[in-house]
Order: sequence, then C-alpha cells, then structure tokens
Amino acid sequence: MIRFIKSLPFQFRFACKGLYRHMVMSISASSAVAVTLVLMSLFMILTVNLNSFTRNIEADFKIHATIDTVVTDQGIVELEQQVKKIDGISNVVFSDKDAELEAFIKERGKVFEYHRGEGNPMRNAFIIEVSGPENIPQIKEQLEALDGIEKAQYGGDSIAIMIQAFEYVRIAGAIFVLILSLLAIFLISNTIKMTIYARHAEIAIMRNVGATNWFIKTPFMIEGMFIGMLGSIIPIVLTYFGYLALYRSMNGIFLSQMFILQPVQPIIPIICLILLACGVVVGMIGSAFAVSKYLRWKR
Amino acid sequence: MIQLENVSKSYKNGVHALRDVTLYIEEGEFVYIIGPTGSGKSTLIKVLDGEEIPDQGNVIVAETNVGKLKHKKVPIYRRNIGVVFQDFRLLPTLTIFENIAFALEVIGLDKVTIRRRVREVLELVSLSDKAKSFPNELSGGQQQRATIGRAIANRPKVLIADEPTGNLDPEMSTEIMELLEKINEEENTTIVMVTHDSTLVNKYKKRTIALEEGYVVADIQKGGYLAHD
Repeated sequence: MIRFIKSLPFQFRFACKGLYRHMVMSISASSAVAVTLVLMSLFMILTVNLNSFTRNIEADFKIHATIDTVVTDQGIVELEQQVKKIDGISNVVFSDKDAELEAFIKERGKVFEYHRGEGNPMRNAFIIEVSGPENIPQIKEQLEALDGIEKAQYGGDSIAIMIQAFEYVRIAGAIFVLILSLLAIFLISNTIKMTIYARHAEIAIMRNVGATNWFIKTPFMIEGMFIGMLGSIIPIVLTYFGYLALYRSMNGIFLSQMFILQPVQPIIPIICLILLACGVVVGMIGSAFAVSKYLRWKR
Repeated sequence: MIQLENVSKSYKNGVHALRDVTLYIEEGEFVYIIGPTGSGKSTLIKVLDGEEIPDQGNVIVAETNVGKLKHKKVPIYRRNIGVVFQDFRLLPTLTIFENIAFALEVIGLDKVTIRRRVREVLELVSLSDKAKSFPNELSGGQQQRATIGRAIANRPKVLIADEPTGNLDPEMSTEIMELLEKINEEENTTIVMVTHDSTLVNKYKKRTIALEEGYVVADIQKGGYLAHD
C-alpha cells in the first residue's frame, strides 16, 4: 500500500503523458462519455421532476366522505375516530354542511347561493387525505362500510392512471440510465483499447522489466478518470445553464399549475456532481476492463 | 541456477519448437545457445522468461518453477532475470537515464537509490555522457548497451540475451560482447546468450549449446561454433 502511494506521482505523470500523446483518442473517448452523460442528465432531471409532480398530485388527493343526516354531533366525533383507524389515511378534517355549501358555491357559481340557511341540501363531510394513491379504492370501500358514512368519493380513476403512468416513466428512465452507463463503459473501454493497441509495445516492456499488473493498470485508470472528467464538463454546463434557463423562462412551472418544476437549488448541483462521479467511475472501469483484457492475453 | 528437465513445447499450428530438452546451467556461467532459424532458440528464451508455458517438463530458474507461475506473478519473477532483446525495446519518449530508471521505478525503489544505481549502470555500460539523450539519438550499439543497462539495473541473477548483436555490425558486436563478459565477471551474473553469429562464438569461446529442430544436438564446454553441413 505504501509502495502504491509512493508510486502515485510517477503514475500520475505517466497518465498525463499518455493523455497528451493520444489526444485524438482521448477526445473521442470523452465525447462518447459526454453524449451519454447528457442523455443521462436529461433523464435524471425528468425523473426528479416527475417525482415532484407526482408528489404534488398526491397531495391533492383527497377522499370526500359525506355523513348521513341522522348522525348526531356526538356520533360525528366517534365516526371521526373510526375513520382515523383505517390504514393509509394521513389526515381527517371535518367540514360542516355550511362550509360544504360555501365550497360548492365557490366551485359551481352564485346560482346556488339561495340554498343558504335552513334549506341547505348539503351534508356534513370528512375531507380525508391519504398517504398514497395506490390504496384509494380500498379505503373508499372501507369508508362506505362504516355506519354513518353516506358516500365516499375521490378524484376519479384518471388521476390514479396518470400517477401510475408517471411511475412507469420513472422506472423506464432508471433502466434507460443504467443501459446508458453500460454503453458508456463499453464505448470507453473500446476507445481505450485502441489507445492500448497503440501502446502495446510499452505495456510489453513494462511487463518485461517486472511491472506488476496493477502498476500497469493504474496510469490507464487515472487516464480513464481524466477522460471521464473531461467528458462530464459539457453535460454539467448544459445541465446547469440549460435548466436554469428553462426554470426562469417558465417561471418555475411546466405548462400548468399542477406541474411545478423543482427549483435549481439544490437539485441541479447534486445532479452535476452525480454526472461528474459517473464520468469518473465509468472512465475508470472502462479503462480497467480494457487493460485487463490486454494483460490477460499477454503473458 | 537454470534447470530444464525434459521440456517440450509445441505451438497450436503443430510446430514442435522444443523436444525433450534437458539442460543445467550453473551460477555465474556464460552460455551460448546456437542453432539455425526455427531450431527453438526463441522458444527456449520465452520459456525461460515466462512468456510461454512448456507443455511438458519443468523450467526452474533461480529456484522458481517458471512454467507454474500465475499470470500476475510473472512480472515479479522477471525482476530476478534481465532480458535483452534484439530490437532493443527502449521506450522512445524517455531518455536513456529514464529508460533505465523505469525498470527500477516499476519495482518501487525510492528516488535516491534509483538515481545512484542508474549512474552506476550507465558507468558500467559506458553511457554516462548519453544519459540525457533519447534512444533515437544513439547508434545501434549504444542503444543495445542501454538495453543491457536496463536489464542489469536491478541486479538480476540471470541475464538472457536474445541475439543482442543481431542488428549490429561486427565492431559494435565486439563492444557488446566485451560488456557482457564484464557483467559476467564483475557482477557474477549468469548469462544465456542466443546467437547465430559464428565469428563471435569462435572468438569468445564459452560453453555452447546447439539446438536443432527442438532437440539439443550438442553441448560443448570448451566452445566454438559447430560446423553444419
């Protein structure tokens, strides 16, 4: 280990020389990384925003349960306790029939104002927030099974379907990013393989004079890390300024109030860091693969 | 020091490069391996420095069974042996000093030791004034001396030279031979030299082993080139 650390300056110089001498190869490898990372960054931004869209929609996701007129005030308190016991419910708010009418008027218009007073046809209700969209249908059934609940309603299946669709896009995005990383590793190791081919004499000499495999590998891995780092510069710049521009021009929302874009801080710097780390790691792994392969058939 | 017991090696294309070769070379010996092209000389060297694994038999150099070495152990074994190639194999981007230092850097010596040893070696191969030159600025003989310097830098017990004079004119060959003799005497390094230069073999008489079609056909202690018909 001490020997390894001691040899690092030497390795470092050797890697820089290699990078410089095989400039074209290095550039082509890092542009391969750049393309992959740009796509990766797009998907990460998409995923992050889909997450927040889903969260926003989920927050609006409420069940409206009306209470039978026969239930007394005391009964309402007991009923609220029963409702709170159902799994998956995060909050229950009681709204009396006057409040319900006001909400209805607000939604449907002033024509209904004449219902105010004694003739109020509305029912007392609970507004119930649920923790996730998945179990809404079951919760609805459980609510309707309770004595005293007249009817339980929610936003409808379309929103649930949309949330489900977002979920699929998220999973597909994750898989896509994974495939892209593998592709990048493949591209880098291929490119580095070419640079190694140009340098196989050097490697043969190193083995001849007694350099161990890790000693030969290290400068190539450092080189790969540099290539990855270089390749991540463009995607990072694009991501940061691109998103900043998008966010500013859209005023933080996307098409409608329902889709609120994630603010630039802190999510974009994190994505940039992830891109850099991916570039470095992918470059390192790619070159390690390529050299190992070469070393294996050269004894 | 070097021990080959019933060593056979054939390649995938059906060529039998070595057939049942048994050889013993003592510490401090200077041995020529001679033979026509395709007689198995190069394979013998490859078997000695671990590049090829024999099909049968044992190759033991400095108490190491070379054929049984794992891939990652091969370079560590090579630190005990120096190999000189016909085509020099110097790194073109490094100076002569750096080329020799390289062999010591890869085995992880510290800078001061490396510098001291490289100067010593340059002195021994009479290249002190060329330390800062690049390989392409040197003559063939000087380049070959640099390779020899690199090969002996970490004080190997065995020096294997594959036609070290193959690319050189007679005058430079003499230069190299004298250097090898000097190393053999001063550092007591065992030297195995493959050659087909009959004048050298006759001029500097050493133990001579002749190979033909993979067989050892002669092993003459007093030396001298075999007259082939």
